[in-house]
Amino acid sequence: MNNKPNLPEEVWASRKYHWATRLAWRVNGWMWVAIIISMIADMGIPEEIRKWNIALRIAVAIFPFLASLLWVRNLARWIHGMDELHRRIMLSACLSAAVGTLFVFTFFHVLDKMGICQISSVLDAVWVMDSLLGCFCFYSYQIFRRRYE
Amino acid sequence: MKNKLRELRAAKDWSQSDLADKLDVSRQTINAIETERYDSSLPLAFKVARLFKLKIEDIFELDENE
Repeated sequence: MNNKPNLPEEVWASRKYHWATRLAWRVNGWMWVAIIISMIADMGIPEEIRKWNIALRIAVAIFPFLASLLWVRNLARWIHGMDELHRRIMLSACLSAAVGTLFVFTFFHVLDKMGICQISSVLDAVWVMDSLLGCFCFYSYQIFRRRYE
Repeated sequence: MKNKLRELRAAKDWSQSDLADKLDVSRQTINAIETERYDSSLPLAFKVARLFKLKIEDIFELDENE
């Protein structure tokens, strides 16, 4: 039985560790699927999509959310397989990422409401949310892990 | 929390990676415990004690300031 704990560095580019492509895809694959589908639906061919029948439009609208949920499930399983130190750091990073993403969304919605910047329509997309979550999670992990080095 | 993990590991001539493999944790976790930047959980402390055939209090010691 393989009891080797999961390491965050294995799925993120790192100088010290070999990047495991298959593992990275297994953990973050659904995030990339959600980002790409949402981005295409949001930016690529929105006018064309509006002409599709209702079932297809519902599928295109819902699919990024389902993919995001599957990503969160895979991420949770991966974190569950970590040892206690890395699990603690990753959970702090995930919490920080969720708060950071919420802050960015709220901040720009308030600015939009005040008529200062018209960006909230861009933020209303799954690919923006997933990208922000992923980036915040990565950078929060890099910051939090320094405490234990 | 102070601990004697580094001395005990050295006495057995194990590397941090060897000890990490025996305890099913990462090398970074062993390093963080040895440098006293991280306090291990109770289950891990029990595993360490069992591995070295010692009591937990023989390995881990609460710092007076804590």
